[in-house]
Parts: sequence; C-alpha cells; structure tokens
Amino acid sequence: MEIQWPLLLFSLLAGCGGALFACVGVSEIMKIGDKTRVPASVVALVLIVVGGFASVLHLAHPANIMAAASNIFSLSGISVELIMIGVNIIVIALYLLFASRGGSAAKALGVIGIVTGLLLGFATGNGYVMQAQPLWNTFALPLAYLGSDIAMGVALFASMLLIFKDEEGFAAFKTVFIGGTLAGLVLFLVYGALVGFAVDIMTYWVGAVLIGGVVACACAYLATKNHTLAYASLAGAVVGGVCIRAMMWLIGTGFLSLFTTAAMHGVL
Amino acid sequence: MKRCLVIDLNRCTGCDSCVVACKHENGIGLGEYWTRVATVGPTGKNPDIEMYWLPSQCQQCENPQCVRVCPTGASYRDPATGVVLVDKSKCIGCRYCMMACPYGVRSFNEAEGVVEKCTLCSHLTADGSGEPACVHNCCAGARYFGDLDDPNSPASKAIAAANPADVHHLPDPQDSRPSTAYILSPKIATWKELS
Repeated sequence: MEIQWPLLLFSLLAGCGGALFACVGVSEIMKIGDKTRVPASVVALVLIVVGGFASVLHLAHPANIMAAASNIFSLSGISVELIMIGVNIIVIALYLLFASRGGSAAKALGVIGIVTGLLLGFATGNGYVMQAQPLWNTFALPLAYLGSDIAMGVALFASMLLIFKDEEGFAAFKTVFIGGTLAGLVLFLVYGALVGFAVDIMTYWVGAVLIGGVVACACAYLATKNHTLAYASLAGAVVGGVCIRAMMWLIGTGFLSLFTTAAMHGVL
Repeated sequence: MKRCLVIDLNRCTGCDSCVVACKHENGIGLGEYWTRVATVGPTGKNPDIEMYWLPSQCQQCENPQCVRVCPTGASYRDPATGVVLVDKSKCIGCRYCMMACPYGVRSFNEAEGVVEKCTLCSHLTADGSGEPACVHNCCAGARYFGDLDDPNSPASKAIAAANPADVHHLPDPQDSRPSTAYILSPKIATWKELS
C-alpha cells in the first residue's frame, strides 16, 4: 500500500505532542523543569494542532472534516482521534491557564495530561487495527505507535530542558529520558515479533529499530556526559517515528487484494 | 432479505464482459472498477493442470467491516435488501473503508472524491424487477442475482441446483460473513482457499 503521508504526519506530530505534554505532567510530579513546562506545553499544543491540520489533507477535501466532526460519536477510528485531539487541546489549554498560578490545579492537569497525552498516541495507531489487514491486526501496532511517541516526547522534553539551560532538571529527567527511548525500542520489537518480523527491512530494522531505537536510546544514555547527544536522540526518535509508520503502510497488503491482483494480472 | 450474486465458475470464461458491462452501466471512470476478474492458478503438474477465473466485486457481507469503520455513516447495509451501499453525499473520501475491506474490492472515484463500489445496480434492481448489468451481459450465463432468502430467486435456485459441496464463499478473516456464493465443481478445478 502507498504511504499516506498526511496520515503519517498526523500521527507523528500529534503523538509527539501528546507525549511531550505527558512529560510536562511527569515533570510536575518530579518537581523539575519549572522554566520548561510552559514552553513545552505550547509546543505540544502546536504539534497537536498542526498534526490535526495534516490529517485533513488526506480527505477528498479538507472541509470534509466537518462531516466527520458532526458524526463524532460514531466512535470510528477517525472519531476517536478527533475526540482525543479535542480532549488534549482542552487539557493543555487549561494547564497553560493554571500553570502561571502554580498550585495543585496545574499539577492535577499535568497528571491528567500524562493519561490523555499517551492515549492520543495510542488512538492514532489503534484506528488501523482491522481484520482486513493481517499485519496491522494486532494490539502491538498502537503500542508501537505509542512507543515511538514516548521516545520522541522524552527526547524533545530533554532537549527543551537543555535549551532552557536547566542542567539540574536534565539530570533529574535522565532516567525518564533513557527509559522512554528504551520503551520505544522494546515496543517496536514487540510489534515485529508479533507479526513474525514480516516487515520492510529498511524502514523497520534500519529506520525504526536501529536509528529510532538503538541509536536514540544510546544517545539518551550518553547525553549525560555530552548534552549535544540529546538532540541526536531526538533526531533518531523522529526518524524512527517516521519509519515505523511508513513501514506500516508498506506492509499493508490486505487480506485479499483482489482488484490489485487482477490489475497486475497476478495469479492467486 | 439478502440480495447478492451467485457466480458459477464452471461456466465463467474470464472474458471480462461483466467488467465492461459494469463500467458502461455505471459510468465508471478510466482506471476505476467496481468488478474485476482475477485468475486462480494454474496449479498442478502437467498434464493435470487446472485454473479458474474468479470474478470479484463487493461480497455483500452480512457484517461489513467497511460499514464498521466509516466515520460518517456513508457506508451502510440497506436493511431492506441487505445490499452494502455508499451514500456519496456523506462520504468524505477518507478511504478507511478501502483499508478495512477484506477483499480489496472498493474503488476511489478521483473526480468526485468519494469511494464507490458494486451496488448490484441498485438503480435497476431496487424495485426487484431488473438485474445487474453484469448478470444481464454475462455471455457465459455464469452470473445469477437475487435474494438468498427467497427460494424462488435465480440466485437461490442456482445454489439449490448445485452440489452443496461445490458451493463456496471467499475466506472470511474474522466475522465479515460474505454473502456472495461461487459454484465450482472439482471436475473443472479444485476450489482454492485463498489467503
């Protein structure tokens, strides 16, 4: 199947935004990154909104999204994604409202953001779990999406801690940073194992597992000594995020693609 | 009511008349199809080689996955006829239904930006009197149309006349329950369980 770039960019950006805001929630619990939380929340909001705009480019006409919005309770994959985008925008907006005042409200919204941010990433992958696509029809697919989101989110938050010169916060966030990138690698491998590694070699093994998993994780580990490697980890996680999603489209052959087979004069 | 096609593969010659008739009757654009004919085989070893043609179109599933994933209700199964249809006025062109169809028999109309599929020529058959263009124009007389809940329909009669062991359905990945039936005798070729 052809790579659907608008959908790929949607899940990449929105998932990354959701995971970034989840990191804001984690930082609230850990009481770190005071200077970084608000900018990170704004970046998360922008990523989710831009991701949402990217998704409408997949439709026959962008304005058609209004028809999907008016049927939001159909609870189809698109509807659930729309709901999760809306929920995340509301939670982040409320967080930004209360963040300057501090106190328990901001912390509570941050904690809620951990759940909603991660659910957004999961939802963007879960819409593809369908019996007609044997290599997508596994719970591990949305988990792989989520793993990619977590890796990108922690790497982006760690990078922002460095940009805002929060050495103390970066040191405290180190474990989450390494753990998040490691989670991405593990969830990529779990997905691969569950589909019998019937994958595209370049996008899965090289792009997702090696660059998005091993390199991103190794850079996160080494970033304690060389902070520049945090940015390398982020770049690796983004490459992994693009590749795991591109791979999904490339291996999407369908249960029986009868028209495609007939068009190629193929033999069943 | 369960309207669908019954296709006698013992008679199908793979001539593509059904494809041409479908495109002509429904005004389907260049490069787009609502029905196609796939080839199964040849298999076996010389001289025992066999193959058959598999005309493919919407299988009119009783539990259609395309309907389940549609975000706007554009894809639906007509409760009166059991035919799976697309309400083009509601279709937003997201193509989720094309991904969710287990048989890959939906088509995207680039000009109108909507997904289309075999309607069993509903514009001809809605009142129960006509027959789909592919059935009318099948020069091998291999296609039957009708309500499988009506024992007097041509489709039901074709199944009743066949050896029960020769009546097949496309494999179902989970619980789509395709209605379209294929008749193939082992004298012509052995039915292949595709996957």
